[in-house]
Amino acid sequence: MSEVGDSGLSVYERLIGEDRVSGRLYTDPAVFEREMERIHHRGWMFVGHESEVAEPGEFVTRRLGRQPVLLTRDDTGVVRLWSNRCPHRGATVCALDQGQTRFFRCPYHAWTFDNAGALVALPGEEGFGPTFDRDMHGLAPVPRMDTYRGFVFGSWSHEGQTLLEHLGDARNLIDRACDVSPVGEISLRAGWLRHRIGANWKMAAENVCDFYHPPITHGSSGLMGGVPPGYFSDAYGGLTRDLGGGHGEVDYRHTEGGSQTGLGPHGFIFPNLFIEASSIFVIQPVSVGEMTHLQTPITWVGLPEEMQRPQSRRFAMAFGAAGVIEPDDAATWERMQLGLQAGEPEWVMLERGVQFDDTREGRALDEIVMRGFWRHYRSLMTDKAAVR
Amino acid sequence: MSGIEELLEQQRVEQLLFLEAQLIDGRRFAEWEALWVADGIYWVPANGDDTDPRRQVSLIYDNRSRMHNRVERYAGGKAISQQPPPRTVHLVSNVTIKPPESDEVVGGDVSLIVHSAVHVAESRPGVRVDWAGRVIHHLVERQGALQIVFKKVMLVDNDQELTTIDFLL
Repeated sequence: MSEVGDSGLSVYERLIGEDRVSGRLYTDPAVFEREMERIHHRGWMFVGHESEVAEPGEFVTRRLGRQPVLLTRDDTGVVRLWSNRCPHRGATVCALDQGQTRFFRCPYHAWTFDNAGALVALPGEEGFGPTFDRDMHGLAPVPRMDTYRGFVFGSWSHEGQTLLEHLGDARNLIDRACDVSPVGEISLRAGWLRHRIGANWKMAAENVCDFYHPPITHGSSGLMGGVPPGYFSDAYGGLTRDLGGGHGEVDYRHTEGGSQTGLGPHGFIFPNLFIEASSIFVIQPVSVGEMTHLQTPITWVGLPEEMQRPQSRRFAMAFGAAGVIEPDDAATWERMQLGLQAGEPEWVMLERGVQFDDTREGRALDEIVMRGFWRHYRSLMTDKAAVR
Repeated sequence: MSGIEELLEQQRVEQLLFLEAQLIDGRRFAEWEALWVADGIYWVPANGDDTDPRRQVSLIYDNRSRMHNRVERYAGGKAISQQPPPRTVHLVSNVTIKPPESDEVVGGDVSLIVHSAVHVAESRPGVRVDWAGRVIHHLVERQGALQIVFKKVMLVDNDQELTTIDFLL
């Protein structure tokens, strides 16, 4: 299978059709390696939220693609994003998921960095000679970091689209998530549930705007009782919308039951962020057949408790490794990962509502957002200008 | 309490915990539910053992109606993640009875607080996982029988990435 990654760019043109994609895209390790290089280690990815490091000295550790990063707020209040790697010999400078500190000290030789990344102390500095320059040995910043309404994104590439260019029409999803709050602000401080799933990351990405599956996959959850009859049907009137750039959403605002599944939007921001009404999900690739699905509930700043509480109750019931929704998605994706080991038939089909692709907006159950995802994916995987 | 009475009390508590483990492993969910008082709380914290379940995420934070929903889903035959159901064996050990004032009591009457350890061997197709945690039960005496008021399972790896937990701990 490894020839997929080696045999030239046109291979991806063949593997990704307009209404179908090859099953090999979910199972071939060479495809995964190329995704990491072309998508996760080049483009913009969601990494966290400013509210997670609300106080000076607060930090969280994450992975950006496969690489360990450290999100900090320094003593002067500036949010910064670092490689979680000592510039001396490479150990992680922070082993905790989150906390608050003024200094990060490497366990190996005690090189010590302040929360603005500067090397402020090291034992036996004189032994490095008179030319040793502390300023040349601070923590390495992730090449690009930018924020949009508190959502922090990072990119390992020094150049390319700006964050606003990357977000494009998907900015509207973040706006709507924030504007549920009377002051336009969300907070993510409840901690994350981190669910390890034996399936390719793209299955979670495609699932975000798949409104064909909920009554089947989640029929056992007991939560379907809260959804209006016929909600997951074309006739109900919900829409699905390809927002370009691999982003997309499902939109029920104009329907009778529009507000019943949560307060915020339901959409996907390429390649790793899912805003699910009142929760945030992050899709973290691990290997071709493994991902971690991170999940946290949104708190809207200034919104009365009684409006937030039903949403956080729903989160507690539904999500995480022991929820009543999430395990059924995970089990389904794990079954797909197993099934796709069969090389025949070659294709995974994504043809529902293909007649609406011109307008990029279809019925709620249509697979328009998936096709938009794959068009963008194909452009990144085949972009000749992006070859270094 | 005399030495003999303490032994009998210890045995009575252990028998309840062993029965609970057997009901879970045997998927006898109605009988498991009957061990609980009406306002019981079943809690599996995430990201540490001493979080605030009202402000921070938990793996499980169920009142009785959610517990019922949970086991109904396990037994209902419709859940994808229960096709086939995971097989489990719970080993309960290190059972120690504490006086009721030894722990912050969340709600309702509590006669006994019991600390224990649990090891759960889980098997489902292609997957074999070992789970372990410290457990706290708050028990109440009702008509001569012990019932569960509160159960907290502190998984040793609750601050790590975890695979699906689609069974009772």
